[in-house]
Amino acid sequence: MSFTQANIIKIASLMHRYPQKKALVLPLLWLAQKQEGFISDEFINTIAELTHMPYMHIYSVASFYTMFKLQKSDKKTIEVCRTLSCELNGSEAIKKYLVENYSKNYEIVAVECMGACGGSPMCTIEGKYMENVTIEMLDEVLHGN
Amino acid sequence: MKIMIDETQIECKEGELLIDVMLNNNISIPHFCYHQDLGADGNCRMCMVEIKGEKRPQVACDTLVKENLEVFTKSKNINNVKRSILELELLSHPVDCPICDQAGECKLQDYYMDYGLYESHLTTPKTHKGKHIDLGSHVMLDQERCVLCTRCIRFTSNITKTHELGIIGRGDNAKVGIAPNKPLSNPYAMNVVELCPVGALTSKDFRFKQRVWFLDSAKSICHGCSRGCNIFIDYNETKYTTEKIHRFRSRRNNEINQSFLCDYGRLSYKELNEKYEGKISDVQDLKKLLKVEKKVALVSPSLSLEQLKSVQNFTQKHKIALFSLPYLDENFGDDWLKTNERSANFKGVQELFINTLQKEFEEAFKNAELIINFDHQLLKNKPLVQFTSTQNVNQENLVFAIANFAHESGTLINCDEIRQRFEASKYKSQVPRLVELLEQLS
Repeated sequence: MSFTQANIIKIASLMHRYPQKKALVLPLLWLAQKQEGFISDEFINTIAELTHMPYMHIYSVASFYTMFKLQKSDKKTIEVCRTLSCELNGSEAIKKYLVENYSKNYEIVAVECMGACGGSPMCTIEGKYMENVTIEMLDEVLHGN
Repeated sequence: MKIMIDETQIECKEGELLIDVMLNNNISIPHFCYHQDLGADGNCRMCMVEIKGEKRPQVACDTLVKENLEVFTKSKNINNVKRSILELELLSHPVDCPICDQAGECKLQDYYMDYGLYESHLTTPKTHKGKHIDLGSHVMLDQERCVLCTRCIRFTSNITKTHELGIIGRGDNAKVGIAPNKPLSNPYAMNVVELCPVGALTSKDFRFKQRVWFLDSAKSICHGCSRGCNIFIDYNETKYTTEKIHRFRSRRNNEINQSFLCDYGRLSYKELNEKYEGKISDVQDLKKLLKVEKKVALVSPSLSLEQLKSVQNFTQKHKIALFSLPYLDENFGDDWLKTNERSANFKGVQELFINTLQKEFEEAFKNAELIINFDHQLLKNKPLVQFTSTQNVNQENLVFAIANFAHESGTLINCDEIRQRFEASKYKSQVPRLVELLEQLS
């Protein structure tokens, strides 16, 4: 497993953006996670080589951020925002409903603001934004899946 | 330059760290993350002191000394600060000192006795982390006892540059660890056990063997190679058993090994617990043998200068040709502490002008009627007169047991021509010292 051709081209252009190779760690971790759904051992090795950093440093960084996944999961992810606007508009009830009804097939996590406060409460399903969420909307979408 | 610490005048140099000045003058300053050979990191905040003219307490490991600096380490205010820091360090720390192997030499324990809060404010459950994790290289990790000072991480990243250890996770879930399937493996790995100020990293070889307050320490020198790293020999004698050596610890020497030892040297204490248990010959028998014409002696280059000198006097008196050969091992040395010359005092042999030519020795050996071996590894298990400090000797002809270096004090010259003394442990050896034996012979 390594980066796809499209991603390799992306990395080449990212290289010029930062004065130090070290700064590439986070963008590369994102690329890896986007490509495979999680960050595998081989990707950490590849990123360590690309950034000239020790393996442990990359592993340390990846484990620091909860949004990076180090294990492969069969479940799809639903991220529910719990920051102010969404919280005031009832995100807690939405999360509770999801956990009670869908945790068998989906991994439900609470996250901080994703910049869609205009459409609060919001959540993402496999990275796709869903705004002004209601319980009915969720049922419709998740049953359709 | 002069500064005032707790109203005592202290002499120091421009540009020195305040914590170094305090440590060098034996002024107690609690600290976890600072280590004189790893440098400052400033993460533990334990070394807070009050400085006249500064609004807030400052960390001593990040303060450079200035002319007329006035420092206070023992005010009520600073004790409160230390108490709060310790409370934070101990939020998730298990109170298991009675079963913890570090008890007695634990910094957390020591400081808590001085500044502790004793009554917990905590109402939520403690965070649980990994227990007894085998990191490899004889190192065991208990993540709950860790105070995250990162000394071990800085050792593997700055000194050995092997980068096995790192912080995993964040916040109250942060822990020291290795990456999955990447164990700690470098020839200096066990230094992290000694660097760890608390009971998080313990040595698989030493843990649960002995409580540290039952141990005595002798200032000695490692005999594993010609580097001559300074060590403490930790030993004791319990009821009904003879003296036993439990471990080697590094003894700080800035010129040679700083605070570090290689794993080979650290574990070489085991040899010292071996004793020669075969038959010991009579001195009178050797006296009779000394009457022959062609005599050769081979002396170990790991003996101290004092021992070498008395061997030399003995051989000169009895007209014995004396040789010494180095213990060369091309695969042992590295670019840091380990050297290819695996004897402790080869420079000393050269200083006394003892013959070290292999060819001449072999020539003399072939023609000799009597060969005396003074603890040299080359002639172990050969039928001749042996002076030995270890067990594995084939018992033929004459054998004399002699005390090993834990029972000797003497002088060694290391590979960089540094002359240093080592001291004997306080218990008397059951077998005589080499010098005593030679006195009996003359």
